[in-house]
Order: sequence, then structure tokens, then C-alpha cells
Amino acid sequence: MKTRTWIVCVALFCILCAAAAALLPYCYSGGGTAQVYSDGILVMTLDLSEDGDYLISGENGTNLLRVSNGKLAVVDASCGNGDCIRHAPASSGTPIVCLPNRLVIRFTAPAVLDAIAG
Amino acid sequence: MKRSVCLIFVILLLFLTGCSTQTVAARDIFAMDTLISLQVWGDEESIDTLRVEIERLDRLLSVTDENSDIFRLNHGEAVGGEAAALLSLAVQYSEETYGAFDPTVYPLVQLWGFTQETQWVPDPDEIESALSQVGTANILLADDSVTLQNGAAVDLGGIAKGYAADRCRAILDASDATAALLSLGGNVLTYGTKPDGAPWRIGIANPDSPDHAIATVTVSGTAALVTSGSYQRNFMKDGKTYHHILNPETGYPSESGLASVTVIADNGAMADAYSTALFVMGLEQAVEFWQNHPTFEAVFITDDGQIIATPGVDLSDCEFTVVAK
Repeated sequence: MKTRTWIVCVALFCILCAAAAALLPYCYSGGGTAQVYSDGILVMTLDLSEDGDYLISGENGTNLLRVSNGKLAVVDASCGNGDCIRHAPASSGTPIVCLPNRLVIRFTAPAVLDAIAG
Repeated sequence: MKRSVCLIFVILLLFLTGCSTQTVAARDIFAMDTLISLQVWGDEESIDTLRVEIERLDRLLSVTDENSDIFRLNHGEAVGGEAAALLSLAVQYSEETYGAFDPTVYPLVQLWGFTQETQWVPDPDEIESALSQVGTANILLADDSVTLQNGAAVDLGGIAKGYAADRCRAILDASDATAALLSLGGNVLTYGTKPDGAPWRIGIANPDSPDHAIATVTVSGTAALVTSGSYQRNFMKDGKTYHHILNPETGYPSESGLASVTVIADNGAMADAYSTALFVMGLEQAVEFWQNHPTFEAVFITDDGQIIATPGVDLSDCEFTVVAK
């Protein structure tokens, strides 16, 4: 086979792969889920397309989660600092964390960033 | 001809399949007063070694655990070994930064209530009194042991997570891991090459909305990224916001005009200490410090939202100014 054909084939393949990798995170159509971990144990998986309130009771305290308009927020918590309540309603990105209650909410939607420093 | 083309695509697809088979091991740990998220590719078992090491350091360096070396040091005992070595390193960073980073601010941190759920504004007299206990001259380093004097107390919170990242990196070096992404309460360690071969994309938290990124740093390979920001732990009193990064000279939260400083370096402990120090220094002095210590890169975000970066930072998704070398 001609060398030029090889080059064209490989180049085409690389371009397709690069385009797919770059566009994948942006092609997500929503309707994702959130995984709720209490003290490291998965206790609930929430469908973000279904509105509702969910009370999570762990050994360290309680958190009230609300799913509304495709996003999840912590609307009430027994912890003292309220960091989790201040976290903006989200459907992707950084996890919502309640340190005192050892609650972590992770989103399954693909993220554009690997992590956030801060 | 057609058969050859098909063959090429089959071979390339096989390569692609091989790339995607590498699985990631992930784990969350509550340690060092924060959430630590670990992701490791290529060696699932090493994640347990990382967890054990982080929990060991937490026990060793905690200011509240009565069995920790730091607690014992703060209560009049001499300590040696790793805690003394790390304290010695902290003193070195303190001296390099002209005291802008100071591990002896713990009496002030306690006074403001940043070790508790509730914070308050202390009386000026109380701050003056606590300031008399601050200063690395109160740390007496001798051979392999350390003691404190003058009622001083230390907190390695400004360096411990960065040091833990360094220890984790050493563990990963000795493992079969090909890549790892560690977030120690916002202190990020990227390790190796991502399975898809792309560079790491790390956001810098928006000081006005820390759940979201204000800019993206692209990193190839291994690096520590540490951010110190006024938004991280703060409280409001009489309409004024007070944050946790205290100026060791004044005893009050630093008002340097910076909302956050992100340091990117090979060394996590250094990045941790420097991010605090540069925040306290303010932009002008911090840039001067960087010009004299070109061992790291940095991104500064000012109180009015300007983003300034050193030339070596691969920054995107924002408008920014590059400082001169």
C-alpha cells in the first residue's frame, strides 16, 4: 500500500479520536445521577430528573437533600458549619461535602475538569 | 487496497481498546480535617497504602489528638523523628518567606476560634497577648528533637497536606501506578500521565463561588497545586468578613488585596507553605518573591477579580495578565 494512504488513514483516525475525546464531556445530555455516601458507604443513588426531598441520617447527623430542576442541593443539615448548604445546587462537578456528618455527594455526569484546587 | 485499509483500522481500534482497559481505583478518606479523594490508575492495591500513610500522618500531626507528636509538643514535651523534621522544614519556609508563613500562629488561630465551630473577633489586648507567643524563635530545634518556649504552640496545618502529598508521591513512585489524582481538601497532586494521554485539567476555585472554577491550569505529568484563599474558612461579624489566613505580624486576617493564591510546584510541602505566605505578602511582594525564587509557578486572584499568573503557568478559560520575569 502507498505510504500516502497509510498517512492519511492514521491521520484521519487520530483526528476522529481527538475530536471524540474533546467533545465527550460536552455531549452529556443531562438526566444524570448523584451518589450519596455516608461515612464512605454508598447509601443512595438519586436520579436528578426526579424532583424530591431525601433525608440522610448517619451516625454523625442528618442532611436534607433536595432535587429540583435537575440539580441537587443540601437544604438543611444538623452540622454546625453549614458548608454543604452553601454549596450551590449542582448536577456535575465537585462533590458536595458535609465534613462533620461525613457525607459526600458525587455526581456521575462527566466532568470537564479533573479536579479543582481551592 | 481496501483490505489493507480495513486492516489498519482494526489494528488502531485494538490499540484504542487496550488504552481504555486500565481501571481506576477510587477512595474517599476523612482525615486532616478535610475530605481526601484518591484516584489511582494501574495499581489498585497502592490506594490502601496511600490511605494508611495519610491516616498515619493525621495521627502524627494532629493538633487535637492527645497522642499526636504535635499535641505533645504543644503541651511541653520534646518530640523527635518525622514531626521534628517537618517542623524544621516549616521553620525553613518561614525564614525564606520572612515570616509570612509561620507555624507558630496557633495561639492566634485558637483565639479567633478557627479551631472550633464558632468564631469571633477577639479583643485587641487578647491579640497583642497571643502575638507575644508567635515567632519561630520560640521553636528550639536541636539535633533530632524539638521543644517550644514562651508558651508557643504550633500547627502544621499550613504544610501537612502538602507534605502528605509528597509522601503519597513517594509511595506511587514505588508502585506500579501509571497515574493518580489526589485531592487533599483542595490541595491537588497530579501524578503520571492520564490513561487517555491528555494533560491534567485542574480548575482554580472562583473565590466568589468556590464550587466553580474561575480558570483552568493544564498540567502535564506530576505536580502539586495548592490554593490558599480567603473564602476557604471565614465568618461574618457586623457586616465584615474575617477569614482564617492570619497575618503573623498583626494577628488579624491578612488584608493584602489577594483573594487567593495558587502555587504549582514539584514539592507539595513547599507549595502549601508558599501559597499561604504569598497570600499574606500581597501581590507586589509575592511577585518579587517569585522572581527571587523561581522554583514554582503561581496564579494570583485579587479581591477585585483580576487574575495574574507567572509565565510558566498554562492557564486557560479566563482573561489574565502575565507577570514579568
